[in-house]
Amino acid sequence: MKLRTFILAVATGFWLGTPAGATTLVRMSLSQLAQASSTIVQGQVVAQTTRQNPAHTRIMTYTTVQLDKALKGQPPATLTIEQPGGTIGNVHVRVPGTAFLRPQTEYVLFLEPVTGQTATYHMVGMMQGAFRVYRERNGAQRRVVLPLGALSTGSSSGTLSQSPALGEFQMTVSGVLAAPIVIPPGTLIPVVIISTQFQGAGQTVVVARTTSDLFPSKAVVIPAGSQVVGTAQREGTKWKIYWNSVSVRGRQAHLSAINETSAGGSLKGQAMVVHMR
Amino acid sequence: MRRKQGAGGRRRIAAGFAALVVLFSAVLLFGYNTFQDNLGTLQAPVPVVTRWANVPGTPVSWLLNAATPSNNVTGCSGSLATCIQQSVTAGFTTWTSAQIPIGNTQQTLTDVAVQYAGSSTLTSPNYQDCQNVVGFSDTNTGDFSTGTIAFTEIATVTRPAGTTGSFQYTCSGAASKTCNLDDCMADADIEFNPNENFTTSLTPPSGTFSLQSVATHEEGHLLGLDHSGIGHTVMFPFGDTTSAGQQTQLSTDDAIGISFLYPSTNFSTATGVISGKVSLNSTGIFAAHVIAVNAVTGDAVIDGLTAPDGTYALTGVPPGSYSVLALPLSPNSDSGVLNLDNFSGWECGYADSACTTVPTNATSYTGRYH
Repeated sequence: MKLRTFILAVATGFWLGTPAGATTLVRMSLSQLAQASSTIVQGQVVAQTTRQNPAHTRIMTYTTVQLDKALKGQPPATLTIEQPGGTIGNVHVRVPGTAFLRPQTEYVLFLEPVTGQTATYHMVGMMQGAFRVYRERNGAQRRVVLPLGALSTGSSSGTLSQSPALGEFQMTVSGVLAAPIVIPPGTLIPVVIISTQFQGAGQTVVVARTTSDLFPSKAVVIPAGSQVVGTAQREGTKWKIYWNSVSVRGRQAHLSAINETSAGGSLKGQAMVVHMR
Repeated sequence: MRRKQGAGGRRRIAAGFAALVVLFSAVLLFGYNTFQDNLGTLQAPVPVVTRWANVPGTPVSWLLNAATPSNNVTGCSGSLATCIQQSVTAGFTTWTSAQIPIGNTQQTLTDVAVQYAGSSTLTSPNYQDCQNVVGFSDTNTGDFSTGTIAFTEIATVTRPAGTTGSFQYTCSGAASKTCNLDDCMADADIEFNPNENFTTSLTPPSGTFSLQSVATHEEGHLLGLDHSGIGHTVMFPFGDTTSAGQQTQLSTDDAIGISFLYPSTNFSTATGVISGKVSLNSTGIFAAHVIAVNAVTGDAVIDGLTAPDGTYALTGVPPGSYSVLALPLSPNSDSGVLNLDNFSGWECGYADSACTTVPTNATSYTGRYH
């Protein structure tokens, strides 16, 4: 990008309109980070260990965070953040895009659970999910460092400055968590039906899971594995499935979509694309 | 090394661009980065970098596990494995054929070489096997948080303390290898997220990532480049499926980066170095952000940070006239807003207990090579 172009872009507030390069990460808004998180905490890094996995094929770093405040979810008093990479001896393993969590430093962390491990999490959007907290030099106020400046949160973070006061940031997070999740019309949601339950009167409750991470707008994310619920009615030789809701990390979003499929086989295990009307 | 200096020759720049500070600090403008493992060895003008050993004598080899258990790669009308291999290969070719604009011509100034070494069944990174595998089958739930499209896991070995010359390191199931640098890359594995949709088509449909585009970015990591903060580069870390900018072509910043890591014999003669010192009241400033802007086109061509004594050197600059800007990294007087420790090569911030040294004449964000 030419210098004058991005000066203009910044001056006119259109930074997010600049072309994106090749990718490691989807650039997530604060709303998307909050939605994709099962847990959002403000806490202090109190310990950090690096070790090999049991197969000795990976080096992982485990950061212990002592909870100060939960902004979403009901986390335990002490959490563990699992991240790939670390140093053992003279071997250093790194994954670009991973946030460095510093000992004795406070963060607001946007977290997802690591399957099968109690109180162990990873960060939503890798480095995008770590917001470092610092105290101003005069000690007056604590502020939050937005990852990569305002790049990752951009205009969707509303009026947040690049280093908002901690209180302001917490209020902004609360605001985006309180806002309803609205799935835009036209959104295509690939799912696989995982269970059905006959309710009588020709109706069956259908539960499916999404199979891809979806980012239908800058304000909405539907992580892979989200639960989608609907009702199936048998009409002649077909099932007609009326989808009602999708659960995004425990928060319900309304769905309005209909799928038709042959009644010849079991609904369970069927893959289809839900088309939001 | 021939020095190609900016319009003002060797520059001594006071950090006084108040208006531009505000503008530049609003975006993260940070050019090509390399991985660096040597703690505390930042030495201007040439930093120690991590890359593959033995280049150009030996090409960097890679293997492919083209299995896609989640059926998340589309756009191929023939053999999917062949299409995937072609997309990944095209990405590597982009790097090996990188060119830098020199005057009115494009010149290849890197001799980096890459070769396909066959198929693999590896389904998760293995940092010890010294095999660079590209795969789509990683089912470790902890590897792909929401928003992660793909990642590269890189292992480097650092010269044991107190030794000199080349040193040996051992791979699992393989003979020991020789590192003839201070730091060598030993293994790099690329995994694509099974929960994202990719296409081998160069015109991705909505909601689908260009496989070649993402591969080109990850391959930049595999070859030794960290993220860039310049939005139009291949090594910029963000993208989205709706952007027309899922690019497969290198920017000048990318091309300089790979040429810096693996320079051809004419790299140092075809390009120059802009060097100087950033000072305030005659005192050198550490970690000032220095940017070379082409005086004719207005392109931000290359940038970097100053060493602890305030000196800097921007290496690999094509001939031309440049304006050089020096800026602090933060618009306020406290901890850095531009979070440099998001880049693998940097850590530490102002008054951070993890820092061993807090320079006395630092910009408002201090840092050191790590």
